[in-house]
Amino acid sequence: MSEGDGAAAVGGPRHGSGRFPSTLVGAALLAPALLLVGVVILYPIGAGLVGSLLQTRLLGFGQGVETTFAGLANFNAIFNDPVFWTSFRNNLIIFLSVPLRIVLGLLIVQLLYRGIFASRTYQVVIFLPFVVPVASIGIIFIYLLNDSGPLNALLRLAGLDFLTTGWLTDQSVAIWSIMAVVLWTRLGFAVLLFMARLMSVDRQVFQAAFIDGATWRQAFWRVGVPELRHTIEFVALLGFIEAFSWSFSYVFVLGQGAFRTDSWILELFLYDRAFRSVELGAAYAVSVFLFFIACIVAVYRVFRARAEL
Amino acid sequence: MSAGGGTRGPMAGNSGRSTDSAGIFAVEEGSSPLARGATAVLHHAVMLFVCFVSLAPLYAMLVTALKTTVEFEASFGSLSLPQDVTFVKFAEAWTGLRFSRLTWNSSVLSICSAVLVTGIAAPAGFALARIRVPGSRFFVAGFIALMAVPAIVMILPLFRMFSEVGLVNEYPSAIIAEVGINLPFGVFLTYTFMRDIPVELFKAAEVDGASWLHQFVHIAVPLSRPILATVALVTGIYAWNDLLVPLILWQSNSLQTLMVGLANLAPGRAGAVDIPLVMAGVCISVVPIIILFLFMQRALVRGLVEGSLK
Repeated sequence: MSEGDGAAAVGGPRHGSGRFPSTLVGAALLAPALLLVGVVILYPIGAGLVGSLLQTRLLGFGQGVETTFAGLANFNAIFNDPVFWTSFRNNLIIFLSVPLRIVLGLLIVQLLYRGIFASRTYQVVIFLPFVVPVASIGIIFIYLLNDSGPLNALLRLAGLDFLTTGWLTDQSVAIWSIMAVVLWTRLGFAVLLFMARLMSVDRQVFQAAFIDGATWRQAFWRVGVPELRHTIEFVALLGFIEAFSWSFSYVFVLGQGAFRTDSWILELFLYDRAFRSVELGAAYAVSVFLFFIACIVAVYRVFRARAEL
Repeated sequence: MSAGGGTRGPMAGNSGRSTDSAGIFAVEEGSSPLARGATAVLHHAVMLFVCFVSLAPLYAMLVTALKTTVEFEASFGSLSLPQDVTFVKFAEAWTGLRFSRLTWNSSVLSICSAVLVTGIAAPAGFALARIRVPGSRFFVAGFIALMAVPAIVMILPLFRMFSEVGLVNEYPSAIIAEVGINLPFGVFLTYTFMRDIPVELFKAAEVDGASWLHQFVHIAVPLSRPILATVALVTGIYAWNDLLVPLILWQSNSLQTLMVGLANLAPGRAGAVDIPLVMAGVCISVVPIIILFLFMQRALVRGLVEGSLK
């Protein structure tokens, strides 16, 4: 940036831009961002793609490693690994929180958008869990869902003993509990986006429905929800990629230890292969798999935002 | 708060009940005031239940953190208010569990990332929106696309890259990573904002011979303050809340952040745990974020909404 310091005083000989050509100034302003994105995002993506095709073998203590081209062997290996598919299934279970948050979000917005008393306060409270750190949330829920913790105590108090269970310790239940925690933290964001979108909808569009004698609920679902279709689409897609690639903290904290593979998700699988069992080829293959999932969302976003370019 | 909305909007007048305070839309044609009252009560009951579910875990955190271990153990599983409030667990977490250190590390990560992302995104947004450097459309599309790439995809190559240059367990590694991860969002947001600044404001300065840099520093930045605050806030909260990046790049004990420290305290990982003590730690990690959220709601919500809906 420093090269332009004196430029302000000079009457622009070029197209009103000062002493230096526009492209040069623009490139200088853009360079730090491009450099960082290149180092932190693009290079690792490339390294991951390359690494997924290589086989790395330790040559015994102190002798370094031997790297050979492996073709698709790493992918073959992970796709034949039952833990990969358990993790994948668990990702899909977490993804189930997405249709739930859309439906619950719409039901809540149906009440909020109507402008009931204190609806803004309600909105703030519902949104609050979204900003609270996931790791912190996880610790709180570990206590709440403890075998003799508050939730089970409450159920016993209500005479619902048959519903009490080891929410996080029972292997078949744990991932569903984690899904519920994901839903709890993310619901407010769906509500926020729905409300924000509806605020920009002309209220006149509801009028025709009312003239036809529709109730508020009918008008909301017939007129309001169609207006929300892009937002719903976005929440669904964002939820999709979150379920696969942004759920690490939930499962890392709530998943009761490293070796309980039955509540792993793909991110835990990658974390284990990369940093614990150190099978780098497998870790890279999983990261490429997750990258391709991200690409779907990336293409969608660029397509949606093409008016912004 | 302008909660009720009352007579706002064309709807109220058209429905013939312009003074109806039940909502933005006074719609219940033909229903009696009593029926409408009942509906309103029902709606509030539903919303209060939803709010209860939202707040219950935070309530549980607070009452548990304020109890002594003895009182907590005596009533395990109960979320009653503490009989005599004690802050002793906070003091213990702060010094004994080194939460002062963890808070410092989280603050370094969060504040440095926020400042750097804002400082780097602002000129980039200006170059794309105002100077329209060649390939601007391509770059903007690229930043939008990269907003979707999650950190987990990059983490292993990042770790190997930083270990090769000896930066693992040094402050710069996680900060650089958080900055890179948050930049696409920051650039996109500043770009859309600066693009919408009326061109005339720049043209007038240009006629007076102002250089690009002058226009950036004296016009674009002052006018973009709200969006820059938003970018800083969203990045800061993201970095504060992030677990993965500091977990991998700051592995040494002296560089643990709050999130990494808490994850290590998760029962099953640390053996027998003093739960009120852990909850006090959770409180320490949560309170700054909640305060920031309550005071800067508008800026935060704006960033999240615009980053999503545009």
